Amino acid sequence: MHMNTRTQKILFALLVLCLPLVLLTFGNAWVRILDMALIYVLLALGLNIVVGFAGLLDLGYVAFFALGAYLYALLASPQLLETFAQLAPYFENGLHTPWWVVMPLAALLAAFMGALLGAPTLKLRGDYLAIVTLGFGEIIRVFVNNMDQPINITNGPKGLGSIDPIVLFGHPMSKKIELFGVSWPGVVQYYYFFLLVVVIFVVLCSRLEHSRIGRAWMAIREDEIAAQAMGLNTRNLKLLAFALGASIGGVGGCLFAAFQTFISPESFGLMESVMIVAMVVLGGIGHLPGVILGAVLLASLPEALRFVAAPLQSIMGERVDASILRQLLIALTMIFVMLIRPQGLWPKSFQLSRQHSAKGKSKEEGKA
Amino acid sequence: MTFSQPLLKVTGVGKHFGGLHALKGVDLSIQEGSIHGLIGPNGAGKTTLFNVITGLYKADQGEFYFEGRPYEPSSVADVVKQGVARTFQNIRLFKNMTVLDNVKVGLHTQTHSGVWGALTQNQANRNEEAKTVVVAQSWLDFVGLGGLEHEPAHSLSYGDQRRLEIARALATNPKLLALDEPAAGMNASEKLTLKALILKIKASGVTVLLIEHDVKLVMGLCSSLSVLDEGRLICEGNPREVQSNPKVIEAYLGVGSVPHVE
Repeated sequence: MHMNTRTQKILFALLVLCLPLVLLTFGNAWVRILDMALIYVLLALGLNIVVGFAGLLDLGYVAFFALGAYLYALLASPQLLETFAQLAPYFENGLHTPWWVVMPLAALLAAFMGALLGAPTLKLRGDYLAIVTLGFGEIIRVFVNNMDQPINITNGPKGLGSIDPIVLFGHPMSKKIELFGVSWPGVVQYYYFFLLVVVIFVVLCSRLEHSRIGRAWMAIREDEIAAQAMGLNTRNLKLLAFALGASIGGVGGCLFAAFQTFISPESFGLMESVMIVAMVVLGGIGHLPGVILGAVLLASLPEALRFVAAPLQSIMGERVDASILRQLLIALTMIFVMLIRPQGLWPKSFQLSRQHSAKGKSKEEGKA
Repeated sequence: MTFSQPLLKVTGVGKHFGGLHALKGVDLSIQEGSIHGLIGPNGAGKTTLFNVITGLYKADQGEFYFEGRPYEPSSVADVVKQGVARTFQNIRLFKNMTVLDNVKVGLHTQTHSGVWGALTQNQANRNEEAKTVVVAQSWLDFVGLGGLEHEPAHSLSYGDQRRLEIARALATNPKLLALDEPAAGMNASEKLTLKALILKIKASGVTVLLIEHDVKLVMGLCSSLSVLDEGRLICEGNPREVQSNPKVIEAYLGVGSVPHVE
């Protein structure tokens, strides 16, 4: 009846690896949804450090996503050279900073901004913190929206286009590639690339979770006074959570900009922040598999509901707009899930941790 | 009688909240290696004094010496690093963490692995983690919670939660352990185990400051007592002296009750 965990893992890996190929038969759009879902997984992982591990409710997380996206867009699109024409002679082929340079930069910049946002909010908790971070998220969006005057840097509400795709070994991923006698469209290439990035960050987050720092974050989440009574420097630890969470958001932004090749402030509204928080909460706060599940579900659900909304709409005699109906269905789904599973779809179970440590023990014994 | 210097000495501690003077110049000195009781009727200022000593509140006046050196209880985290650990009247465990992880957090200040170590899982980090588990486990065994390490803290019985809180405080390696009403809400058998545990802590060389309402427990455990009433220290001495002090009886039973004591 019970498959052993190893078989389960192998099956799961096979599923994840084959999924885009299956979906490809239904069209590129489906794989595209999957690619976006992976970007959301990355964002949810980052926010989970802040909300899930350290227990700081951050409603402005999309700001770091925007920061990463705009940094990549500016450093790998014609925009800057058009505005600062005097620089153009230095870049004969245009400004094409490779992603592997921008990504660490974006992570650093986002981390810095994360700490900057964290600093004034250290004494705030719960709702109050949420309000301040919400404000911060909006500030970044409005800022980007208005940075087209007096010097046009972000191109304002018109957004930035012609952004370079991810280039790997001289091959831009947006282009088809012939491999094993099959032609692989860009979306599938992006899927495997994003999957690799997500896997790396899952491993890093999991390592953080089970480290001294991770425990300290959780102690702060559980009881800040008691955490202080253990000698924890709660200020630095909170700033660290903000910074590390934000840096993952920055990386996600880079991937997003390269994938879409066009970004505008519209993509970084309050609803995005709320959705990322919802992914973390719906999946299971602080529990990595749950957070990933939440992100995949909430990122793909709206698309899947397209197919439900249309028939529903015709039943109702075309009186309701399909997109409104879709939002209604998403909201209802979320309310329903929260009612039956207030801890999230896949919350942390202590039974699991017991098995985990038992395994660790036998491993150590094996070594000895 | 020994004349060793007191581990903790505070003089003239004052603290007010708006118009309420919770502490009006309290002196307290705790001998090293003793179990010192802090008692008094409700609202006497025990917990306020306790919170001032452990850095939760900032005193308005007063001088503090720890191990003969000036000591400034400026923040809770700072106090722990100087060697004073505490528990809380209403248990404050990290409820959704395992019992073992609760104690591991107590070892935070004695370990140094940072983000880099965690991300790379380098040798230093793994060694430290392994050591952390062993030490945390030994503290759980010390308070008698061995075998429960992988349970979530919230699933423990009330008495066990108290003991876990003590284990967690001990893990910070304190010289002075301050216990805020550890026996509150315990039944008779739990109190007996607690008493044995406090004696074991004392035997291990940690000085204990104890706030407690249970007179029997306090009298049986403490080598010295300070009695507070209305923010003032009204009596100090060993349990026998305190028990027969008319001021103490008055504070507990009210004015006029002294002559009627049979």
